[in-house]
Amino acid sequence: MADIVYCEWLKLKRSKILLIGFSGSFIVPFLVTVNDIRISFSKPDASLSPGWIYEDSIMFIMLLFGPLVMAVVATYLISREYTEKTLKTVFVLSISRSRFLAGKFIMLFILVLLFMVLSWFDIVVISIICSLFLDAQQITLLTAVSILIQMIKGGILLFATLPPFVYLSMRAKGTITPFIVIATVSLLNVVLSGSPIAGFYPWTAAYLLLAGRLAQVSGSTLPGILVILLVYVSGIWASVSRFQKEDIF
Amino acid sequence: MDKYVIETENLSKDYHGQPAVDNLSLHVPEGKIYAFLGKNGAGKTTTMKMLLNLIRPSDGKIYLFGENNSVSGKKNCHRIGSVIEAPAFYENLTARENLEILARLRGRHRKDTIERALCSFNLDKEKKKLFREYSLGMKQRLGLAAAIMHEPELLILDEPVNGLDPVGIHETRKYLLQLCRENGTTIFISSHVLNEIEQLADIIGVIDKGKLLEEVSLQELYRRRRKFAEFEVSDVNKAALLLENVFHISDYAITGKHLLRLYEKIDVRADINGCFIKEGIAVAGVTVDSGKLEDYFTELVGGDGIG
Repeated sequence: MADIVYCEWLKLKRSKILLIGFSGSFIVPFLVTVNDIRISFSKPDASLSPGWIYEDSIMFIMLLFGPLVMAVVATYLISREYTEKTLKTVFVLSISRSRFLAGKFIMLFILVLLFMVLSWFDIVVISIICSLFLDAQQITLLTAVSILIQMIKGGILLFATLPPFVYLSMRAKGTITPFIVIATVSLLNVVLSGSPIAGFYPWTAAYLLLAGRLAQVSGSTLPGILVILLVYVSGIWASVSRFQKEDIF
Repeated sequence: MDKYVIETENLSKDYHGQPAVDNLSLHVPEGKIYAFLGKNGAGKTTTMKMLLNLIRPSDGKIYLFGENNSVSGKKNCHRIGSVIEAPAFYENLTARENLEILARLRGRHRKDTIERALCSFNLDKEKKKLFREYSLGMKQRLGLAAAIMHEPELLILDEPVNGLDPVGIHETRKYLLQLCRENGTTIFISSHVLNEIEQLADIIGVIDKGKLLEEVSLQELYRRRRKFAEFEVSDVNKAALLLENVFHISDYAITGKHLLRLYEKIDVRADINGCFIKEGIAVAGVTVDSGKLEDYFTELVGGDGIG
């Protein structure tokens, strides 16, 4: 399996998708902090803190940037095999289709975590800069570690909501349809985030669960967790079944 | 008795009720070059993809190296190399990186495998060139390098010389012949370049509309299809007598009421024609059949050519 994952990593060499993801990881906390600084200047009682920067960053990452960019990455990992017709080169080898797909999911998981860790690093650096040059609270090691743990949890939840996009990319064999669906899902994420049904919408439920607000919004955490699990399991199952029986043209 | 590396039994593939491959029974003997010929859309690529597990057959059986493919699954994959249609690789990677991916996914390879494969097809000099920047010929050569890099016992090649220049075609032919004769590699190849196939193949299989029309060794084909000149004359008996008495020709055949085929002394057909006319035999036409694969193919699948 290590070889399969290494090959997936090698396939991303020189590809712009990584650059887009990495840039996004840095830009989201930066833009959020700019907005927080503006608010702190207009409201003297609001004191800029690492916790505040983290909460606003994670909200944008989980509701907008994450589903949008990571779903695009998931689509890229799959659809390029169809558009570049490389499946007919790979599937004649002794590697099984399910192992090949498992390699894709592992790579996607690694990338999601990598983007989260980069965002965390960005939050920490921004917090240090703010505490040095602005009237902001200093970030402690404990806060940094707890933010890192939360962001990794967020990465896991975000990854759990991505398998449907993998399946969709297989069905569409291209990028246009998945991109339209990704844009719609992300838009609905923003629209539904304040509504009472937000806890039943898997992509919003993932954020609410991470923020500890799922029970508050939907009465109980269970329906939201079940919806996320359902999306994850059904997405993986549909992708594997599709890949196993598909004719490669 | 021949040992078959590829054997199919009533292999079929339907698309929405339309047969793409229809009850195909192939026999590819070990250590031979088998040319699989057919027009575009005849079912060649679909057959090859079924052999490689890329497409699932609707019916029938495939035996590779004597084992039922539906039972052995991926077991024999490392013994097979293939190029199907245009070679496909990751466009943002170099030839070396692409081959490294294939070698790692295969799981077993010698350290110098990649370099040797690149050298074999003169791709070792363009180290930094990405696959997307390759010419059609270079892509084809990389496809061949990928197919042979693990020293397979069976090569399945679908139009492998497409896009190659005449030198490239010649070199590829030489290389494939060497692989087959020296290493005993079995080669199952399809190509539109019939004169190339003629110089390469031991056995010919012709497919049309998904059905195998004929499977014959090239030797047998040449024996069957000797070069001849055909005379269309008013009196075949008188013409035959003249051939025997004047030209001392015994190797001829009367193939119709007015048709006479001449298998020897074809070069003197003009003299024969003159003699016939002089003796009062009307000659409506003289045609020469070269016995070439192209003529055979055209005759078998219809006159509208391969594509």
